[in-house]
Amino acid sequence: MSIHVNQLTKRYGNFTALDDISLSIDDGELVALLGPSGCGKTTLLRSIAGMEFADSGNILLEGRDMTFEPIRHRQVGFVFQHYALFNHMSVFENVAYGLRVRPRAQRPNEAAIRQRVHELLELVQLEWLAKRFPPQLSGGQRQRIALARALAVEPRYLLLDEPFGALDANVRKELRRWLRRLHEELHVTSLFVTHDQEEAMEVASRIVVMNHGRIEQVGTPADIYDEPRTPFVSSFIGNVNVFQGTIRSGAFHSGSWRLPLTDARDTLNAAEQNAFVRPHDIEIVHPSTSEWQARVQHIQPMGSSYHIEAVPFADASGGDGPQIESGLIVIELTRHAFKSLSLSLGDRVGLKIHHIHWFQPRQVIGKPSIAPPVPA
Amino acid sequence: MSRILQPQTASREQKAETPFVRYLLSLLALAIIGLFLILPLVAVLFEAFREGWQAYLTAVTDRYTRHAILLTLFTALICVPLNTLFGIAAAWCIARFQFPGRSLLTTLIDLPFSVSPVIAGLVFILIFGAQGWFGGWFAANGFPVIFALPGIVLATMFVTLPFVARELIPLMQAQGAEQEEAAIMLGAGPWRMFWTITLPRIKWGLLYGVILCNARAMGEFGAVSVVSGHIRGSTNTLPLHVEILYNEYQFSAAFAVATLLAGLAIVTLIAKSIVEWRQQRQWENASS
Repeated sequence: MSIHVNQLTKRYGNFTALDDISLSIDDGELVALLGPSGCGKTTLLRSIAGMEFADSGNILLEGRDMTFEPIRHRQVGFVFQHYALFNHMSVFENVAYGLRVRPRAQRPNEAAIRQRVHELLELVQLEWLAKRFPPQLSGGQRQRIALARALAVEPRYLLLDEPFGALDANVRKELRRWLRRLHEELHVTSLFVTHDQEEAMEVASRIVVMNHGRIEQVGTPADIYDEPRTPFVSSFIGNVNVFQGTIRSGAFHSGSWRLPLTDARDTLNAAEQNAFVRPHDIEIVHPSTSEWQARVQHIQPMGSSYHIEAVPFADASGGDGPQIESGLIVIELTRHAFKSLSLSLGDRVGLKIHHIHWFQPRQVIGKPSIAPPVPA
Repeated sequence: MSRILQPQTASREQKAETPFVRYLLSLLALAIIGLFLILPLVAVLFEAFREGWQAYLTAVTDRYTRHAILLTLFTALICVPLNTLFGIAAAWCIARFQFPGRSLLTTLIDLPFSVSPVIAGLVFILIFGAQGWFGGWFAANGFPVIFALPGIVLATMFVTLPFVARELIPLMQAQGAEQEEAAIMLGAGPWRMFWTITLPRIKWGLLYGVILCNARAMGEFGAVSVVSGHIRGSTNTLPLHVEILYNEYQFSAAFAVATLLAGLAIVTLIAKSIVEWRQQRQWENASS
C-alpha cells in the first residue's frame, strides 16, 4: 500500500503551499511530515486524502494514479486535528458510522457491525465508553475514538493531522508510544503531520522535513539529526550554535577565533562557511588547553542535562571574538559532566568542539540539496 | 448564537449598585414593558370582548374572517417551506464554500430587512402590475399576479426570505466543516452526510428560524397591503382584514380578529422559548 507523490504543486493566490513536492512512502511505513506551521504539511496530507486538489503533479496510491479520484475510492482513514467526532452520536455510533454509510450491497449486518465496533473499541482500550457521547470524554479518549472510527472502514492508508497537538504533555507522551505500538500491530501505511520534532523522532520510522512548501530532507530520525542536509533541518531538529566565518589554509576563522581543522572532510575548499555545532558537541575544558574561551553567563538545569550559556571572549591578541548569530554559545552537558566540572557563574572556561556541520551562507533559501526519490 | 446563550453573570454586578438604583432600574424596565407590550395586548383583549362573547364569536366566525384565516395559512404554507429550503441552501453555500460573489450574496440576503416592506410591494407592482414590465403578459394569459394570490405569496416570500438563512449562517460558520469532512472521509455521500451530520447539528437553529419566518409570514402587513388590493373574501389576509374592519368603524370586530393574530404571536413566543431552552440545554450538554 505505497504512496507516491509526484511533483505536486498547490497555490492559494500568491501563497505557494506546495512547491514541486515528490515523495515516496513504502507499504507499512510510519512516516512523519515535520515542519513549522504554514510549511504545507497539512495541505500535502489533505491532498493525499482527496480533500484538496493540487494545481499540478499527481498522487499514486499503490501505483494507481488517484490524483482526481473522489475520496471514497482512496480507502484512506483520516484523523482530524480536533478529532471531528460526531457530538450528537454515541461513541458506538461514531465508530459504526463508516460501516453504516456503506452501499447496501457492502454493508455488514447489524450483528457484524456490533462485533466490529466492539473489536475496535477493545483495540483502543475504551470499550466501556461505548454508550457515552464525545463531549463527555477527555482529550486522550476522544483521540483514540477518532482513531477507532478511522480504522473501522479498514483503510489501506492512515493519515493523521497533528494527532497529539491538542493534548496535555503527559497524555501526549503516553499516546505517542501507544500509536507506535498500534502501528506495529496493524501495519497500515501511516502518515502523520506534526510541528514537534521530538514527536516525529519518537514515533516515526522516517521523517519528511518540510519548509516553505518544499521538502528539505527525508530520512530516518538518526539521519536527520546526525546528517542534516540543509541549515534549516539542522536548526529545526534540535538546538544548534551557528558560527559564521571562512575556511582558509586548513583552519576555520570566525571573527578573531581560529579553529585548526584536522579532519579531511572538514577542509572544504569553499571560502565562506557557517559552522553548525550542536550544544552537546561542545566540551568544556580547562581554559589553558583551548584557544576558544568564554565566560559562563547562565546555567539552566533541564533535568537529565544542563544547558550552559557562555559569552565568548576575544582572544589574547585583542580581536573581536567569533561571529555567532545569537551572540551566545549554548553548551549542553550531561548531569554527570556538569557535576564533575563544578561550574559556577562567571567562570572562565575553554571550549573544545567535537563535531561540525558545514553549510554555505545563503544556502538557507534554495532547492533541497538532495532530491527525494521519484517513482518509476 | 450569542443572543441565545446570554450568560447569567449579572448577579455580581448587581450587588455593586445601591438598592435604590436597583429598584428604580427594575421599575423603569417593568414600566416600559407594561406600557409598550402588556398594555396593547390587554387593550386588544378588552376591546375585543367589549360587546360580549356573542359579538366576538360572530366576528371571528364571519365568512370573510374565515377566508382571511385560510388565505393567511395558505400563504404561510407556501412561503415557509420554500424559504426554509432557500435558507438551508444559502447558509450552506456561504458557510462552506468560497466563491466569487459570496459576500454579495450575504448582503443580498439581508436586503429584505433593510428595505421598507411598502417599497418591496411597490417593486412587485412595477414588475407584475397592469402597467408593469410583465404584468400585461401574465394577465392576458389568465394568471394575474397583482391583486391576486401569487402577488401576496411573492411579497411574503420577499419579506420573510432572510429569517432562516440569517439564523443558520453564523451557526454553521461557528460549527465548521470538520465533522462533515469526517463523514465524507468515512465514505458517506453528500446526501447521507446532510441527513446524518449537518441536519441534526443545525436542527434547533433551523427550527428557531422557521418559527420566526412563520410569524412574519402570517403577520406581514405593508408589502402584502400594496399588492393584494384588499378584495374581501379573495385577497384579504388577516392583518389586512383587521385594518378594513377598523376603517369601517367595526372596532369590536377588528379587535376580535386582532386577538387571533395576538394569539398566534403568543404561541410563537412560547414555541420560541421552548426551542431556545432546548438549544441551550444541548449546548450545556455539549460543553459539560
